[in-house]
Amino acid sequence: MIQRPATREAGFRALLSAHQEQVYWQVRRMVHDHSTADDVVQEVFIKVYRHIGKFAKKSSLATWIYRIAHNEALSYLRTHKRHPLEDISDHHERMELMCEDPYFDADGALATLHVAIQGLPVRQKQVFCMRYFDEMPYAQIAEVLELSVGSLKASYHHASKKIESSLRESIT
Amino acid sequence: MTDPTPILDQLRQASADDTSYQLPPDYMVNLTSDIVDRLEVTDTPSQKPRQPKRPYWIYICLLGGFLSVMIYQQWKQDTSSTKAPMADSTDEIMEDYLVDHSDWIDLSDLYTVPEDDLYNLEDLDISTDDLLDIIY
Repeated sequence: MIQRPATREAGFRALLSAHQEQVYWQVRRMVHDHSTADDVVQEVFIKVYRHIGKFAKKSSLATWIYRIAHNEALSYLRTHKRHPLEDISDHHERMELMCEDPYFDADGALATLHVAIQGLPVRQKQVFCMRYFDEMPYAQIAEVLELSVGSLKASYHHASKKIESSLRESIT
Repeated sequence: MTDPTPILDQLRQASADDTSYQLPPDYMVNLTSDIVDRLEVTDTPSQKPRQPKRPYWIYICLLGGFLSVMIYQQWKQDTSSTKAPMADSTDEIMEDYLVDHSDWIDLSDLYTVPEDDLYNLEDLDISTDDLLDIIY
C-alpha cells in the first residue's frame, strides 16, 4: 500500500497503528524519559517511510522496524548522553534522576527493577527488555540485534543476575 | 544461561499492571498525526532500484593506458631530440676531417668528365685552400 502513490498515506497510517505502540515501549525502556522516546520514535518512523523501498523482505516487517528502532535508540544514547543513567553506580542517585521525568512514577520492587535496568550496559538492557517485557523469542531478538543466540543468552543471563542482586539488596 | 530467576519471574507477573512508565493523554493517537505531519506525504519513498556498481577497474585501465601513451610519447620526444644534435655534430666532425685532410684526398675521384677534357690542375695557379673553397 505504501509503495502505491494513491494509497501511500493510508498504508503508512496502517503501519503506524500496527507498530507504533510496541516501538514506543521498546524505545522508552531503552532511553527512559518520554520526550526522548518521542523524538526517537518519530525519527524511526520517518526512516521507515523513507526507506520502505529498500526493505528486502529477508525478515518480517516488524523485525525490520524494531531493528531500525534499536539502532536509532542506540545511536541517540551514544551521541546525546542526555541521561547517562548507566554511568551512575548509586541506586538512589539514579532513582532521583529517573524521577525527573514527569511521566515516570514507580515505587517498591518495580521501581528497583526499572532503576536496575537503567543501570545495565546498553546491549544487556536491549536484550533484557525484549526478552523480559516483550517475551520475544531469542531467534527474533537475534535478527533484530544481528547477534548470535549464544551471545544473547549470555547477555540476558548477566543482566538477570545483576537485576536480581539489586532486588535482593533492596529487600534486605 | 538460565531464564528468569524466581524473583524476576514473580515480578514479571506484577509488571502486567505496571504503571511506572506513563504517557501524556492521547499520546498514541497524536503520535500518528505528528509523524504524518512531519513527513511530506507527497514525497516518493525511495524505491529506486539499486544502481549496479560501476566497474571501476575499467576507469583504472583507461587511466593506465592514457598514462602509458603519454609516457611513451614523452620518451620518444626525448630520444629524438637527443639524436638530432648527435647527427649534426657527426656531420660537423666529418666536415672538419675532410677539410683537415683535403690535401691528400684524390680530387680526381670527384670528376665525372673524361680525363682528357680535364684541366691540368698543376697548370692552374690555385692553392689548395682556394680549391677547397670552390668545392665546398
